Amino acid sequence: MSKTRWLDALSDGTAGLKTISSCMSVCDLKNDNYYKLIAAEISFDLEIKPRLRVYKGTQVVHDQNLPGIPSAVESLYIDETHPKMPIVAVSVGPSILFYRNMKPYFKYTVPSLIIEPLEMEIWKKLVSDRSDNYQKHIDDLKSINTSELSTLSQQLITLNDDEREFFIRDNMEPKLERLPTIVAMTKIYKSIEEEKSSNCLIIATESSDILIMDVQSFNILHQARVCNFKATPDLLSASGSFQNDFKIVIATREGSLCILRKNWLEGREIVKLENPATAMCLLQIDQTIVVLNTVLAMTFGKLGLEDHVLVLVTNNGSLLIKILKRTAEFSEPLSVESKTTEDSTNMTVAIPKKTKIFIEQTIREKENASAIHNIFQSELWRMRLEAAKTTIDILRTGDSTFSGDYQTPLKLLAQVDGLGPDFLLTVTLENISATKIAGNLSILLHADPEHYKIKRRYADLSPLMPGIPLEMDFQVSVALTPDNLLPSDMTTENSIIRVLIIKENLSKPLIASTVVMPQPELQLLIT
Amino acid sequence: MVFEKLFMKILNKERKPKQISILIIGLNNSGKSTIVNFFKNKDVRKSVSIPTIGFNIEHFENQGVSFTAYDMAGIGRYRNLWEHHFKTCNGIVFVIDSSDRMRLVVVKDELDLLLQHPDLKRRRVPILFFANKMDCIDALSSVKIAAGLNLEKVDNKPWQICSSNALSGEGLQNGVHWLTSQIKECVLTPPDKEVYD
Repeated sequence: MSKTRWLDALSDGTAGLKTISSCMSVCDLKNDNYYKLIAAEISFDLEIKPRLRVYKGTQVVHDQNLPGIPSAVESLYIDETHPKMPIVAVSVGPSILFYRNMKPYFKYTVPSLIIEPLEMEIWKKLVSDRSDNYQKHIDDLKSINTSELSTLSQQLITLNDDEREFFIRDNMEPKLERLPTIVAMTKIYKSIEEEKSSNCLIIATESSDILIMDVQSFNILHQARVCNFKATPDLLSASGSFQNDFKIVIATREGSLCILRKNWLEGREIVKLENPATAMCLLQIDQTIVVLNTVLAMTFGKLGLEDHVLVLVTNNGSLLIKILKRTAEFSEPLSVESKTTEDSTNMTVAIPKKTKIFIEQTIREKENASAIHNIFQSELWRMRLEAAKTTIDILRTGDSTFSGDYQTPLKLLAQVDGLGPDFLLTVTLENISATKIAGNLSILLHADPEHYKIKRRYADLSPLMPGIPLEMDFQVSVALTPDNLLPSDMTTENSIIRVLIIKENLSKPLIASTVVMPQPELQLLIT
Repeated sequence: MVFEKLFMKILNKERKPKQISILIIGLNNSGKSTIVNFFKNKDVRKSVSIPTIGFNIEHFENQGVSFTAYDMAGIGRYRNLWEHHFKTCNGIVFVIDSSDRMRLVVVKDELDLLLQHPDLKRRRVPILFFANKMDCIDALSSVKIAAGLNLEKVDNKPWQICSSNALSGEGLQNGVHWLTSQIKECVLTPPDKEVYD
């Protein structure tokens, strides 16, 4: 099985299509669920008129002339009525031509920019003045930045001296207009972000304006600047819907990438590239496709009945269609380790909002930082001292269920059975040393004779083998008064029996454990 | 008398037509449901077919063999359901839209996946290809489709390609006739024989 993820549906070297990425679009033109490719054919020979072509699969099904060199082709839906027929928008110069069913439907021209007052004044003089003074006025015109001049003035300054007179005479009532050229177009959804729901058209002009147009009424809904400094848009990419939220990424000729969001009047620069971007596409995949010739244009989307198709046009006019395999996998199988690291980095911890108490506490902590630290340190030392004292006490009295003596490490467990007044105290003693035998041990039960009667208080123990527990039973009964009552001074606090493990020749017991005895159930005794 | 009745019963059981399951697959919009529709009785035929979701089960009979046809959905995201029926099917009908030149590579890809599938690779399952929509002007001929799909490389399974028009029914009977005779030969006579390549 080959590793390739793309199926070569077509590589037609004779297609003779010359286009750019922004002049290609895929859409369901006839609403028959068969997506077609719309591409504007732009010949490098200016004599040949540009053409708008529709490809069904691999065949040209429609071919028509365009009135000028297009800068962008976009297909969009204007309303929610059925059947859903897309319209095709083609930007030519300062105008957008809308086609419905591939027939001209509407022409929109972007509004004119402000004309310099100086320019208007010069034209007034030009019209009224004698031809001898033209040169002076034209020199004045040249003082204005060429890009800020109207088309008429731009034409005038390029003319020869003898042509000027005729030109001015032809334009005695000059209509000064500065129409910005459209450089790029893209679309976003109007409100519902669903395939085939109505769109808004986004237009980027040479004058660094971004216009968002409602294509149903052809009104400009929002206008914004690309950036706060001079930046000419070149490529556009957008996502989201106009009513909810949207993002427009603009690549400029100066090499910066700007982002424009809803309600912003000006884009913000996010990245500054060293060289201007040549193509921009929002893709979820990354893979290299090797094509024999230089790729001039590409687009990705639905084509025909396939959902994921990449269309490439190379510089020798070949049209290549690549279909993404159904079984194509782009993510490498992740190992468990990388998964966990990814999870931990991607995981967003739900941080609750800062409460008023929290803020007040933070302020207090800031103000009294040294005092808080000192108090904490002294308390910490106090706690350590307390812990050390207790440890010494335990070591001194052996009051623990473990023997602290490293020579004979022992573990003691005690269990009390019975309801009383007679109890059975089971003591389990285990040698927890790995190798050494613990010998010469004896056990002693110690209790207040006024409270408890113990049948056998003392026993010598056999040597203890490591790991084998020794179990001993002791009968303990409460010393009741003659009229079957508990001893008067017996409380829950002092009803205890101490279990001592003593080693021969050692004055200190190895273990001195306290067993808390339960209160006897006297009702049972009475009945 | 009693013995004779019992004997007849056993005999009848033996003669009863075996249930044969057929898998009908192909890309979306190739005409699978329309082909199945043609084999139904006239009174239950549908006039319009809509894209199948998941799969539909249909029953019909041909030459004394009763078929259960699994009409699978051809939409990309349902194509992974096909392989679940590979193990149990006795015959495959692969429908191709011969007018959709662009997607012939997709057909080839799906066919290769099918032929390489462990449940089918070693089984001798007859495959019938319908080069459907032969009435379209730009339809490819069945010979060209067979060449495009590299069918001559399929040597461990009997296959046949028929041009068809599911709307008029042209070519369908021929194809199904071939499939039935193949199934009779492959499945009903000897027990399912394994082929090793």
